[in-house]
Amino acid sequence: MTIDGKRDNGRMIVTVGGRMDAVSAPEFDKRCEAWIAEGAESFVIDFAGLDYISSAGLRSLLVLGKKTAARKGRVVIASARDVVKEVFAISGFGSIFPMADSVAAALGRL
Amino acid sequence: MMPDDPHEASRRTLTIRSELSEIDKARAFLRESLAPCRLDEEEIFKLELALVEICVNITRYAYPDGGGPIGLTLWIEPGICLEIRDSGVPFDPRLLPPPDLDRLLASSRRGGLGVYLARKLVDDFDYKRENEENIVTLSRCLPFTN
Repeated sequence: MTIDGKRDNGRMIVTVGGRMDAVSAPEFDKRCEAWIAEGAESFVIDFAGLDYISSAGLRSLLVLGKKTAARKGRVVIASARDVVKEVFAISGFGSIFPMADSVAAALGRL
Repeated sequence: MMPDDPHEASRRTLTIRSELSEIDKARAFLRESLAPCRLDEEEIFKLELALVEICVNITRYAYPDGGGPIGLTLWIEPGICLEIRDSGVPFDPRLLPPPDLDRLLASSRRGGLGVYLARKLVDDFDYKRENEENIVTLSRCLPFTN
């Protein structure tokens, strides 16, 4: 998994690539935790380069969603490929996280 | 002479240890085994994800006193069949209730989400307990097979 964050005022644009699974999810948790500690309120998660997300990855997103909601922030998913969208749909996570076709569109929904 | 097992030609096996660091081996095994099928990436990702979910579950829960082996067998014809074995505590994943998202956050890891995903990502999900082993079989129909 690759993960990179870009600050945009109180918003974070986080680019995640590769596989988000039990092996890599703890790294995602750690980075998001640090960004929140630095004042990030809302997150756009750019999944354009994500191959797949497992249950461990979904759980990490859920934790992030809960933490940001506690500070009135939001999490929006951007540019997910079909197989990732399918996992969101199957798991019911599609109704928890708004999905946008691009980072720009996602920023518009924060 | 006994007729050859029709699955024998495509049958491949691998044994890994029940550790997260071993899961890449399972993934590589799956990809190499599926190479002749010329599946599109989305299709491979689904099987890969189902395999990873079951292996992670075994790694976390099957061997409470330390690690143990995970045996993989894959054969093609008809469709793709992937058998995942462990000799840990008896556990029928089919008996897990569908995940409850609230409980998933409140409790620790066991939320049933991984098994649920794995079941939904394949066409058939089977379990049996045999010779002190848990055996999960994932099957996926192949598009355009004769």
